[in-house]
Amino acid sequence: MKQIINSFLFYCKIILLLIAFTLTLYIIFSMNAYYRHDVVNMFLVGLPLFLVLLFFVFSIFKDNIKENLLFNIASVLGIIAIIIIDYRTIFDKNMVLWQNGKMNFYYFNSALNEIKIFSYIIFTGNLLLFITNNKMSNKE
Amino acid sequence: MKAFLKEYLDIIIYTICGILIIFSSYNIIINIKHANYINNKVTVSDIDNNFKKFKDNVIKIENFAQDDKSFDTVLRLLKNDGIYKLLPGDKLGYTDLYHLNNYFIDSLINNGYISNLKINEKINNTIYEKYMNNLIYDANYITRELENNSNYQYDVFNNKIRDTIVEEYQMILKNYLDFSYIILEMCGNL
Repeated sequence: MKQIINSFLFYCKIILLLIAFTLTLYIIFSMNAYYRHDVVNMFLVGLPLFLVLLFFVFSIFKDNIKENLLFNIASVLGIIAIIIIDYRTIFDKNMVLWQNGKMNFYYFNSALNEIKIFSYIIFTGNLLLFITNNKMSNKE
Repeated sequence: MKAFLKEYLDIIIYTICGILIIFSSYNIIINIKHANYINNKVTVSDIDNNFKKFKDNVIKIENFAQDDKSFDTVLRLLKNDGIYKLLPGDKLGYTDLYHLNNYFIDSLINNGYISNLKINEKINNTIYEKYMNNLIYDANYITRELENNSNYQYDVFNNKIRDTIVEEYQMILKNYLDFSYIILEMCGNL
C-alpha cells in the first residue's frame, strides 16, 4: 500500500512540476513582454524550477528518494501551491488588477518570492536526499 | 563520524520537509480563502437610505434643470450609467465597484463637473470647488483600496482576511450622493 502511494505521489509530482514549470514560464514570458523587463528576471525564477525538474528526473533511478513518503508529500504540496498561484494569476478575474493586461502581473510579482522559496526548498531537500542514501521511510 | 553526519542530514531533511509542508499548506489555504473572499458580492438594497436619496436627488435635478441647459450634460451622465442604473437586488462584485468608481471619476467629475460646470460663468465655483476636491480625494482613495484586493491583508484581531466590499460600496454610494447634493445646490443657487 505504502509503495503504491509512494509511486503515485512520485509520478504525480513530476507531472505537476511540468505543469507548474510551463505555466510559470508562460506568465513570466508574458510579463516580460508587457513590462519590457530584463531576461535576468525570467532566469532567476526559471532556474530553480528547472533544477527541481532535473533532480526529479534523476531521482527516478534512486530508490531512497522514490520511497520517501514525507518528501513526496511535501513536494506535491509545494508544487500545488505554485500551480494555485499561477492559476489565480491567469484566471482569477475577481482581482481588480486582472483586467489591465489579461493577467494579474501585480499579484504574480508579489507571489514570485513564494515560488522561488518553494522551488529552492524542494531543490535543497532533493539535493540532500541525493547526498544521503538513507531510506527514511524504511527506518520508520 | 559518517553515521553521525548521516543522522545530522536526516534531521535537516526532516526539518526541510516540515517547513515545506507548513508553508505550502498555509499558502494553499490562504489563497483559497482569499479567492473566496474576493468572490463576495454586495446586494443593492431598496431599503438603503443613501440609494433612495440619490435617486430622489437625480429626479429633483431633472426638475430644476428643465429651465436651464447648463446641467444637461451632468444629468445625462448621472442617468446613463453608475448607481442610477442599478436596481434593487443587483449583486455587485469588486470589478463592478471598480467600474462604478471609475465612472464617477472619469465621467461625473472630469466630464460633468470640470469640463462643463466649472467653466460655467453663471455658477460661483469658489464655494463648490472645495467639496469637489474632497470627493476626488475620496474617489482616489477608493480606487487604491479596490486595487489592493490582489493582495490579502490578514485581520489578526478577527482572525480572518480583511473583506471590505460592503464598506467600499457604501463609500462609493456616499460619493455619488454627495455629488448629487452639490449639483442640486448649484441648481438651487442659480
